[in-house]
Amino acid sequence: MKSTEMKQRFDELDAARAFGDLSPEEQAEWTQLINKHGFSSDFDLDLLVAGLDATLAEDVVAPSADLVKKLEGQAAGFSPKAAVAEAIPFWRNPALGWAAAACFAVALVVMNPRAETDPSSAELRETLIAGADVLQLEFAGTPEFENLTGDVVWTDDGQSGFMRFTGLPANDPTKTQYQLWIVDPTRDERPVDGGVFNIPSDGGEVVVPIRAALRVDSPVAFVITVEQPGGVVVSKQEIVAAIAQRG
Amino acid sequence: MPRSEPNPVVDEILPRVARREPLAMNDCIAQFGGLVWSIIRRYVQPDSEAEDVVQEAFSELWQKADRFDRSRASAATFIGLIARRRSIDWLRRKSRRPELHPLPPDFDEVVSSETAPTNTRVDAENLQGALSKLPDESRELFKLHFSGGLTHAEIADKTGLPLGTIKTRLRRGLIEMRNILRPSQTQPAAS
Repeated sequence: MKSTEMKQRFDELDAARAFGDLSPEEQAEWTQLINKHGFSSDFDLDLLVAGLDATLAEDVVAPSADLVKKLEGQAAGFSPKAAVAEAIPFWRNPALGWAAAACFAVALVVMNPRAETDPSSAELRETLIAGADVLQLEFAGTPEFENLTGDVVWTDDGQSGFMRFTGLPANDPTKTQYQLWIVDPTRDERPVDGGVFNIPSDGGEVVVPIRAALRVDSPVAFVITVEQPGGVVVSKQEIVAAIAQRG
Repeated sequence: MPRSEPNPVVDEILPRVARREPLAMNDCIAQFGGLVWSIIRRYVQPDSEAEDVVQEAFSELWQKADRFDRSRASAATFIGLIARRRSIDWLRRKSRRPELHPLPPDFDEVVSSETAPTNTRVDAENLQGALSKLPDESRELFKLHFSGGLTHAEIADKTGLPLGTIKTRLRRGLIEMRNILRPSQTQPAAS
């Protein structure tokens, strides 16, 4: 096959890939052309298909009010920026009731700037533990993070929780960030993104709020990975720092 | 290079999300919720699962909003890309469409404008312009697929054309559209 014919064939296969209709045989051929002849997939084709999807669709219907409510609730839980682990001020004691703490927690997420009077994550964690039906698991560091100790607390009803660490190495947020994954086999085979966070370099115990991207009803494990800045949608789990799981 | 002006209000929503402005995500949901829901429902059923995928899509939007480059695509195209991507990912997980090819290994990277190979802006105006230059029979197939939401097999049933012909025309039509929008690069003849 001449090189121009080969390129034309690859383009057709790559267009099929963008459409999502490669047959297994075509996929093998597409892969072979890439591996043996140096072709590469063209992202413009993906953009075109996505643009056609967005532009030509005539059956655009509004999502249900319930779904919009879920999405807005989910958005309210997104961290305004990567959650920053906080050192626990030793002089503070939990003094707020659960309801007040919950209100503060929502305000913290929605309003972004922290006021001096806001309860710390450590205080919110204490009030959470004081409530009913709280799951608490110990973290175990992987060999590379063997000095790590910590735990996680989580409540299904409140859809909130906190991690507490000692000995988790400080990260450079411009290079890597820690990311939490919550394993809930009852909802999906893939873990739920629990948010990205940083560990400051000043040492000591730190408490990190959990920002679950989706509802989690029956978590069986919490996994900390090291990811690129901003985190990832699907982790390859190349670097696992710690795991907390039900016995 | 064909260009069209971005919609400044709509296209500003994603940068606002990237800047983590309060209520930007709510505006994003209000503006694009229907688009995301509609795209995902084409691929994902039942609705309860589609709702989960919609939530995943908006979660990814939150994380990837800073990669939006209005010189490369409209906000609708960028969001459509994520919605489609999440749908295909769901289909892969469920193995209900084994013929679907996984997204490229470097997909996360190529979403970034920094590594995009051209600066063609993919938006409604440019797409309609490119579509209008396709042969009538190809354009009709695109409308049946994207406007009517028909699968290739359903198009074959409706038109009486062989399935292979439909696939070939759509694939070559897509390449032709790319070449129209990227005239400076030499590409093989599309049809």
